[in-house]
Amino acid sequence: MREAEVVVVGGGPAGLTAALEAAAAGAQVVLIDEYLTLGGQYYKQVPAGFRITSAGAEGAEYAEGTALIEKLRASKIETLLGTLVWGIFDERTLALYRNDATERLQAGQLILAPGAQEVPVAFPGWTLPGVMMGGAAQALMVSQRILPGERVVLAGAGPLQLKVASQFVEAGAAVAAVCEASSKPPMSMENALRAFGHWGKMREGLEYWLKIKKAGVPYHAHQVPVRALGNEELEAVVVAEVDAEWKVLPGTERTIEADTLCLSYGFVPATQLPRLAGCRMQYEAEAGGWVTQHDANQETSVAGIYVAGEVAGIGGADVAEEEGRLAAIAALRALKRIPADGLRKQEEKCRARLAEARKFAQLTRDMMRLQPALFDLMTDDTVICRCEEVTAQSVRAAIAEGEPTLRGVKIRTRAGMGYCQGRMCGSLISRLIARQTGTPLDRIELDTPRPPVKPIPLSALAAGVDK
Amino acid sequence: MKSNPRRLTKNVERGQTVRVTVNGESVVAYPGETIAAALLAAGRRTFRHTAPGGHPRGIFCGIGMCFDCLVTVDGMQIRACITPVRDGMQVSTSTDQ
Amino acid sequence: MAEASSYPDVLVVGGGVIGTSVLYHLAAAGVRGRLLERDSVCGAASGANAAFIWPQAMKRKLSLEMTLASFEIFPTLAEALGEDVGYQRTGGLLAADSEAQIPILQEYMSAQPGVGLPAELLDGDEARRREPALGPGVPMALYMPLGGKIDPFRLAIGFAQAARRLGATIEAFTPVRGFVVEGGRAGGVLTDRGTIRAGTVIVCAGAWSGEVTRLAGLEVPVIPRQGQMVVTEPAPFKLHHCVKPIKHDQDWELYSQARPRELDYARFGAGQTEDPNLPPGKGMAIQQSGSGAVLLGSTSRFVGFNQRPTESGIHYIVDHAMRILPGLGRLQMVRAWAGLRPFTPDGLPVIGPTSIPGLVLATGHDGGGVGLAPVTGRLVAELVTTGRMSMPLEKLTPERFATAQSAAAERRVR
Repeated sequence: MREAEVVVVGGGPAGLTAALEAAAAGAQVVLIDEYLTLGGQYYKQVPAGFRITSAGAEGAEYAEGTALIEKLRASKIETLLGTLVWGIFDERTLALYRNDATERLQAGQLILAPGAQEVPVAFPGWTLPGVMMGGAAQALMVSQRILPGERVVLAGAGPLQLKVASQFVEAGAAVAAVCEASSKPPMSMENALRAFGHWGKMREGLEYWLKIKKAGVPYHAHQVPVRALGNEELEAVVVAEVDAEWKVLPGTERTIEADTLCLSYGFVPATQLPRLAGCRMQYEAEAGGWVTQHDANQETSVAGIYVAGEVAGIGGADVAEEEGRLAAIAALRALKRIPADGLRKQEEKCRARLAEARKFAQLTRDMMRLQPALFDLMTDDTVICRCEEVTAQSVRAAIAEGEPTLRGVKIRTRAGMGYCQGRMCGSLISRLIARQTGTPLDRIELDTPRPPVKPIPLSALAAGVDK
Repeated sequence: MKSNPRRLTKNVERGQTVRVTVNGESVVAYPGETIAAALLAAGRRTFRHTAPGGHPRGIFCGIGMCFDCLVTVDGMQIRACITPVRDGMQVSTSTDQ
Repeated sequence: MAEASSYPDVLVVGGGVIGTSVLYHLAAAGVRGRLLERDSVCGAASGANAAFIWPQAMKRKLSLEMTLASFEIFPTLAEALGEDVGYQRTGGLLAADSEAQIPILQEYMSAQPGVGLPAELLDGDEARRREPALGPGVPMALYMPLGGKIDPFRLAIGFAQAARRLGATIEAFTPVRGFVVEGGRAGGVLTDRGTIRAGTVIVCAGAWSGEVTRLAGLEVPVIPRQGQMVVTEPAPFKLHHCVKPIKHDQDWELYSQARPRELDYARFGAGQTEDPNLPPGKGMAIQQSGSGAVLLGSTSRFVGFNQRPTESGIHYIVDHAMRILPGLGRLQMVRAWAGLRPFTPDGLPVIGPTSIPGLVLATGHDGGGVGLAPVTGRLVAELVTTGRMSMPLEKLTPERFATAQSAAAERRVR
């Protein structure tokens, strides 16, 4: 079986800095990513077959991401792209799926940086083609250079959708409305004052704001989507006003013609891999819900397994990059690649930057905090489990029969048994359980993770396993 | 209203087209593009219909996590949003059931 | 929800297919029952199996008779429960993957008249005519018309809901912490929410039955035997039968001779667990569920209450399945898991009154629980209401282990 001293899973900001830090100290590093390009969701890359005419015209993030990836290419780090870690068995034995076959990789120390997914918010019509996550629109516009639609409504909470809206404007779409659920939008005086001291971020936010204002984009606070309309595809969005607790105010609905609706209600750590590896989770509402428990050195409850980035708690790219470095330093010490107090100065600097980055992350978290009423938008016939087409009514009935867990609901309704294995419906079902039984969200456990972390063809498994 | 997704050309060059068919019809596609991008640029936003409900689905999460965007290639269900096109690829957007 | 002081006639411990069937059949006989389940209804082996009923898998004649009796009940359940339990008599095909396995099939065929079940040897072409998904390399198959599939979730939930409608109550997430034994008689159980008294307690706790019964001071040799499973995405083709590969290196009889059940229990009943790196063991079947997904399994290990699938187990299952159904290669595995069968040293269930008056067992069904659920429920209801069961089930009595236990204890000491 193949071995590597340090294996990093995930090639986004956290994984990139972790791999670079470990390799700089001379460790043998393998970096694995499911996609065909590095950078994760934050440093979106264009496909290998595309060529950027002028790098300077792309913006700061592109430059940062490219710089990291170039450093990686120049290093001795072995990068496995298009490679899925489908299971973690025994002690840090990774089962990989790549090139139509499965392989094993034994990690000396394992750093998991698989990132996050966006928070699903359900309402009638949310499954129509044209309704998508903000990240989907960004993947299309920034990576694939495709404009997803002509007439766009954005709905969400917090500053991220300002960026997405600005990207739509840049790409030539008509942005019909940006709906912010909170009464205190990002560009309010209160939030602006809190952001004071993070000048770089503020300027970035201001740039997006000015761009959409200049394009005449209507920006509405305390509004949410309540229905998506259309036959085969999205044709219009019904939005409504909400009160300070995000409860819909009757009689305030209005219909906006649109072919695209982008939802940006924040992020949830993608914890399938660390849970599969046996790492303990803890509930932190502020950090996205269930996050991977870890100590100050990023080590999880399983010795030799570390987490960095969003999977350890939603915090953004700056937090992710410092956590990646800290995880690598801890791994290097555990491997005795460096002495027990090696890289002490480097570590101190990381921690200082991390503290600073966390302060700003706290501000964005506050702006992205979701009110429970957002999840009352699901009506009885709203599909909750997209894969198995299970409606809220079926889920509510199962809960009423005395099964207040994701597992119990799954057994009764099949919700969570499909391809995505609960990634889209799990948090929605948790909200329904909380609403119906009064159980707090931190007492509603996630379903047991099982391999494969994502589906893989049987032919790859039968191709044999190297013993 | 009819949507018109399209390729953006600012600051990017794509190379020579590759041959891809969707339900037997040729569509324009570029090396490295995902199947989803090629489908959208060809005016298709509905990638499949659910079984048993028969409801239309397209791109939702866009990053390979939701499995809404499944299309059939070589008899296999694959995610259009993260799978790159290949020269000669034949894509089907109808389920085999 | 019933108050903790409520006094049902019968308390059923365990909410799988057995417990819910018992609760239902009691309710249908007018007996007020309350079921306590430590986790989710249908959450353990009942929700983890291959969903098929294969009479020929019954090693003992009595289990076979009971399964056949269940078969008579299954078709009536849809109406009785008001729930489609997905029961279909698909029949089964035991398929050879190569010429080398033909003698095994022939030997198995020649044993059938003694067993008394219909069977038919088919050449490869005839087998493929009946089951097109079988690969071109399959030279021969044994067709057994008895045998079928079911949706075990709908079965357990169907029993549960019907029982509820008849006045029974069910509480999930209520583990039993102890027993009330007064004057030598079982009078109820202890839970985190207090004591629950009942006239009779029936333990249907599957692989946990040994542990639960120990709380009453009784040793019953039921231990977990792990089986791994794999499920695919919905398949574009149809599987008309339950299809079984023959294990590649060993047929069932040889395996049984090399690993007698008593020996398994002697080693693992004492709490030792098996080396997880040994070959995963016997008992494979391939079945298509109502959604079109294909269920593949299983394996056999003694690893305590471990319900994690292993990489070698997954490869083993897929490898053997694809030898006879190569078309599976195009499908994706969506999930792998493991369930715990309630294993007994002699391979027979444990059904009947114990040495503690008021404490009854209905457990130990190993890999045949789904098929045996209806008849078990009926027999236990008979026992509770009339004091007798309509099938001669002395062989299933919990008391049969009393003498066997001292012999086993001796072996462990040696």
